[in-house]
Amino acid sequence: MVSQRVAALLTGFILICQSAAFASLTATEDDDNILVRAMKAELDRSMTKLKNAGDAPLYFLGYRVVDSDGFSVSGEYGAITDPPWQTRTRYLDLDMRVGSLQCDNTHKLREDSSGGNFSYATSCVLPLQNDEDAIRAELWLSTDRLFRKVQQSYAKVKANRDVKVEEEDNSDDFSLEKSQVYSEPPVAFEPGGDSEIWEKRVKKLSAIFKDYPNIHNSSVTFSASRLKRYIANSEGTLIKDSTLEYRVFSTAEAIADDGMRVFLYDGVEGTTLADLPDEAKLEDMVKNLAETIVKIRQAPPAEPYAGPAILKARSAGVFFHEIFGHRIEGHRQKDEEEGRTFAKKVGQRIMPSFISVIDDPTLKRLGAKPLNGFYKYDDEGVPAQRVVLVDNGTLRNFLMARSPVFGFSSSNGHGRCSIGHAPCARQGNLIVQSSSGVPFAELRRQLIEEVKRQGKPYGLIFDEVAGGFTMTQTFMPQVFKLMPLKVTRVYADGRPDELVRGVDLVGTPLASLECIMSASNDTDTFNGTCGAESGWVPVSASAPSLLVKTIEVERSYKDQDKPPILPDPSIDGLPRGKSVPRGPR
Amino acid sequence: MTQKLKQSLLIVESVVLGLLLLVGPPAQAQGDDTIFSAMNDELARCKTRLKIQGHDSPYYVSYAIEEEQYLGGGASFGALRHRNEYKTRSIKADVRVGSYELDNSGVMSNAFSIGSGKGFFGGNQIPIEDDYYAIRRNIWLCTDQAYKKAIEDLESKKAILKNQVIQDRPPDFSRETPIVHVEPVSKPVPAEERSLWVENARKLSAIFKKFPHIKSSSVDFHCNVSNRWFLNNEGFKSRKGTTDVHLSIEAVAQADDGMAIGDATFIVAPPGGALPPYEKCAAQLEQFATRLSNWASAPLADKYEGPVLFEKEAAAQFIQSSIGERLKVDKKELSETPQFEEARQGMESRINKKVLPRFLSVIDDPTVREYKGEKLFGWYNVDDQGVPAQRVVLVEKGILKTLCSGRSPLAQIKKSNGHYIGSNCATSILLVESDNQVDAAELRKRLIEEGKEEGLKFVYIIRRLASPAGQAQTDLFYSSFSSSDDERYRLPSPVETYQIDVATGKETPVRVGAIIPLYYKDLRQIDATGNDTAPHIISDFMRHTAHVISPSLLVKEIEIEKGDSRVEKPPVLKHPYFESISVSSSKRKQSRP
Repeated sequence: MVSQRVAALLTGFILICQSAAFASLTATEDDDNILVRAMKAELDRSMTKLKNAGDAPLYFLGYRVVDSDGFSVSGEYGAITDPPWQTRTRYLDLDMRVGSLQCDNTHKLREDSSGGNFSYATSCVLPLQNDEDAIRAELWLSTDRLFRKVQQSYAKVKANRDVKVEEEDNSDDFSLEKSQVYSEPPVAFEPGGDSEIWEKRVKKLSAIFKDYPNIHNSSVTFSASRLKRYIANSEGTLIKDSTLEYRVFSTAEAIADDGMRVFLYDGVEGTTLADLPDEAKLEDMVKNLAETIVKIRQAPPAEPYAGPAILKARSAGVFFHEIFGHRIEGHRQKDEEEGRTFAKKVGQRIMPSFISVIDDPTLKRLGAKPLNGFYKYDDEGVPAQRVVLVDNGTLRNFLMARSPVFGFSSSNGHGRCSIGHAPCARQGNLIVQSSSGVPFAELRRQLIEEVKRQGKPYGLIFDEVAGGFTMTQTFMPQVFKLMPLKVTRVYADGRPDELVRGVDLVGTPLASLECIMSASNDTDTFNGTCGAESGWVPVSASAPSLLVKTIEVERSYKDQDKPPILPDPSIDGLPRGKSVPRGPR
Repeated sequence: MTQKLKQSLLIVESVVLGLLLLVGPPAQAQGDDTIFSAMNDELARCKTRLKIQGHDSPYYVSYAIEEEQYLGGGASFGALRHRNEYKTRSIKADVRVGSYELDNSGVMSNAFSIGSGKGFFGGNQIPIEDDYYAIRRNIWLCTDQAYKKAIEDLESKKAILKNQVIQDRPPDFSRETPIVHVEPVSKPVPAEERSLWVENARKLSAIFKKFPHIKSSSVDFHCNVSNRWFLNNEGFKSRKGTTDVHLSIEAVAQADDGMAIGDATFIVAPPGGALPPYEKCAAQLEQFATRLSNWASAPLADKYEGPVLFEKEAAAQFIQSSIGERLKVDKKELSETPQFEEARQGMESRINKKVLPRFLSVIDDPTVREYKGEKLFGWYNVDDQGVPAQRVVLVEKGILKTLCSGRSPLAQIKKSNGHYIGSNCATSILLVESDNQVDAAELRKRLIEEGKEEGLKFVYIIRRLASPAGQAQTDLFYSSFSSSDDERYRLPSPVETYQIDVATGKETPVRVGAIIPLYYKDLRQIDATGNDTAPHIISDFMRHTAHVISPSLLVKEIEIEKGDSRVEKPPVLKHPYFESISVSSSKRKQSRP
C-alpha cells in the first residue's frame, strides 16, 4: 500500500526496464471504427440493462482502451542484449460508478484495511484485431465482473460513512462535465524500417564504454512508442487520439574504491525521429556520460551538510514537482489520510512573491524543448487546461480531476492515469516562473556570498538528478527526497569546485519553499515519468535555476561489497593470446 | 509444420542420438564456441586467482548460459489477442566454497545480493550475440558476486551447525563422473512456419463460437527454441538444444446455476516432429469444448463416498497430481531459526516404506523416446548439472525405493540420478507398471461389485480431471490448489464424470464437485488396474507438459463434494454474441408465416 501512495518522479528508463516482452503484430486492419462500435454497443447495452440490476443504480460507465506499439533495442559493450523488439498490446480499463454523483462506490473508505476501493478500474487484454464479436465478448465479461465488485464497494462505502464522523470536506464524489467528441487522424508508426539503423547505432554507441574499464556496467537503448487511446463513456464522450515518443538513453555505473556504486544516465527524447540528435551528437552524449561517471567515481564521498545551494534548472524542476506539485493534486485536499499541506491555503502566500507556478498540458514545447506532459484531453475525456496554481507567491488553484473538493467543483483536465489504474489529479507540464531572473554567473556569486554570510566552508550545486519522491500522507513523514547524480562543492575561499558523490537531498515542503532566495534566467525542462496511485504518466517540470538558503543533504545508500576481486578481463593479461576487441566488429 | 522444419528437427534428433556415443572423458576441444571459450577462460582465472584473504578459493565453479528464442501468439473468439517474440540469454554461476562434505549450499542466505553483480539494474541478462568480451565480462561479474555470497553463506552455515545437532547430515555435494555432451545448437523455427501457426491458433479460437456454455476461451501457440551451455571445473561440459512447439487451449465453462470450471488441453509437437495437421487440432479442440459444454449441461450430483474408476487419461492425471509430482528430492534450506525451514517432510521419510499397493511400480525414465510406437516427450540426455539422464525405479512393488535426485545428497540418496532441471529436482516421464491388470469389462464389474458391497445405488467413473492450469482460470478458484504445505494430495476437479447405476449398469453423465484431498495412505486403496497402459500428455499448474504412462485405476474409496456449495452467480447480461444469435434466430422464427 505504502509504495502506491509514495509519489515519485523518475526518468523514463525505469519504465522501459519494466516493459514486457510483447512483440510485433505486423499486419492488422486499421479500421478502429469497429473497435469504437463495439465499445458503444456494449456501453449502451450495459447502461440500459444493468442500470437497475443491482442494489445501487448504475449512473456512469466509461471504457478506455489503450492500444500501444513499442519498439526498442538495447546493447552493452558493442553487443546487443535485447534484440529489436516490436511490441503491441491493447488494454481495456473501465470506470463504473453506482450510487449518485454525491456518493458513489469510489468514495474513500476511512480506516479501512481492505486496501480501499480507489482502484475501481480493472484492466483486461482486448483482442488486437478489430473483430466486433471478440471485442464485445471481452467487454461483456469485464463489465460483468466489475459490476459485482462495485456493488460490493458501494455497500462498504455506505457502512463506512454510517460509522465514521462527518468528513471535513463533504464534496461530491464525481463532477458533471460536458461530453466531448474529438477524433484525431491516426499517426504513422514505423520504427521497423529503422530497426537495422538503430541496431547498428546502439552497438556502436554502447561500444564506447569499452574504452572505460572502470565503468562496471553500462547500456544504450533506443526506444519508440505509439499510444492510441479510445475513450467512450455513458455521457456521450468519445475521444480518439494518439501520442508518439522516441528516446535514446544511456546508463553507466561504476564502483568507487570504497564499494559505493555510482550511477549516471543521460538521454534525449522527442515526439518525432527528427527530434533526436544525429549520431555524432549521440556519441558525444555517451562519451560525456562516461567521462563524468569516471570523475564521479574518483570524487570524494560527501558528508551530511546543511547550507546554501543552487538547484540548476532541471533539478529545480524536479524539486518543485516533489515539494509542491504532488501536494496540490486536488483529490488529496479532501482525503483525511493525506497531509493536506495546502488545502486551506488558497489565497495565501506560500512562496516568495517573485515565483509563479502554472501547469499547462496544452503546451507542446517550451522554447526548443519538447514537453512530456502535453495532451489535449485527460484520461477522463476532459479538455486539458492551463491552470495558474501560484500567482506571484499566492496559491490560487489546484490540479483537478472529476473528484470535486471544497471550493473547486469541476475538473480542469488533469485526471490522468496509466493502464490498469483509475484516473486522479496529476501534473502535466509544471512550469515555475520567476519575475526577476538573473544570469547564472550572478546566481553563483550570490551563492558564494550566502556561504560566507552563513560562515560555511562551501555551498553545493546540484546539476543533475535521477528523480525523487515524496510522501504526502499523515501516517508517514511528509518529506521529500531527491536523488542527485552530479553534485559540486563551491568553496567560499576560491578553491576550485569539487565534484562529490553519494548524497541525497532531503527536506520538508513548506520550509523549503520559504527558503528560495533568487532565480536565474536559464529555464530548462526535466522530462520524465511520474508514478503515483494512478500509475506512471509522462510529465515535465520546467524551472529556472534556484538559489536556496538552506538545503539539507544526507548520505545516500552505499553498497558494501568490495569491488570485483579480479580485474576486468579486457585489462587482465589476456589468456590464450586473445586480443581485446576494440570498437564494434 | 513444413516438411523443411520437420526434416531439420529430425536431423537434430539423429545427431543428438549419435552424440550420445561420444559421452566420455572430458576433452576441451569438443564443440568449442564463443560461449564455451569465454566460460573456459574465466574459469581458468578463477581456479588460481579468485580468492579473498582468510577464505578459500572456490572448490567448485559452474556456469550455465541459457538462450531462449521465443515466439508465441494467442487468440480468442477468432481474434488475435497478443503476439510475442523475444530472444534472451541469461547466466547463472554456481560457486561453492568449502568442500564436497561441507559447502555454502542449502542455507537460508542472509547475504543481500543484487542480481548478477552488474548492479541494481543489471539482472542476469547477457548479450545475445556471440561477442567474446561482452559475454566474458558478464561471466566475470557474475562469478565475483556468487563467490562473495558463497563465503558469507558458508560462514553462516558453519555457525548454525555449531549450534544445532543435525543427525546423519549427508555431504553437501556428490562426486560424479565428468562427461562431455555437446549437442548441435538448435536452430530457430522458420518465421513463416510460426506465423502460420499463430494464424491457425486464431482460426481454432473461433471454433468456440459454437459453444454457448463456454464463458471465456483462448488458444495460444508457443514456439520456444532454447540452447543451454554448461561448464564446470570438474570437466563437465554440455550443450543442449531443445525445441518446444505446442498449442495450449484453455476455456472456462459455466452451468446455468453458476457453477464454473476451467480446463486446458495441450497439443504438443514431439521432439523432432511437427504439430498435427490443422484439422486434427480442430477436432481435438471440438472434443475439448464439447466435453466442457457437456459438463455444464450435466445434472448436478450429490456428495459421494465410494469406489471410483479413473479411466485412461484421468488415471494418468491422478498419478501425476498425487504421488507423481512428489517423487523428487525437495530443496531444503538450513536456517538460524529452524521453524522457518519448510515444515513439510519430503517423501524421503517414506523411503523403504509402502506407498502404493504391492502390485504397482513407478519408474521415471528420461531416456525413453517412444512407447508402443508413440513418440514421447519430456526426455533429455543430460540434466542441468551435466549429469546423464537415468532410468530410475522409484516405487518397486509398492515400496518407495528412491527419488529423482540431483547432486545435493540426502542421507538416503547419496548420488545424482540425473534429474536436476532448472533449479530443482524434477520427474520426467513417469511409467506406472501393474501386476494386477484386468480388462475393461472386468474392471467395471469390480467397480459395480464394490459399490454393491458398500450399499450404494450409484458408483462413479471419472474420465477426465481438469488441467490445474485451466482450473486456475475460474474466477472463484482458490489459490491453495498449488500449495504443498500439507500432507495431502490435492486433485484437480473432475470434468467428465459418469454415474453408474449398480442395478442396471446404466451410465449417466453428471456434474460433481471437488475431490476431497487424499492422504498418503489413501493410495493403498488402489484396487486394480486396467490392461490399457498408454502414454497421456499431462500438464501441471505451470503449464509444463510431460507424458505419464499409466493404466486405468480403480480406487476403493474416494470422497467427492457436491458441486454447487460455493459458486459465482452467472453474468447478469448474456454473452453478446450468443444473445445476438438467439435474437436473430428467434426473429427468423417469427418471420415465418
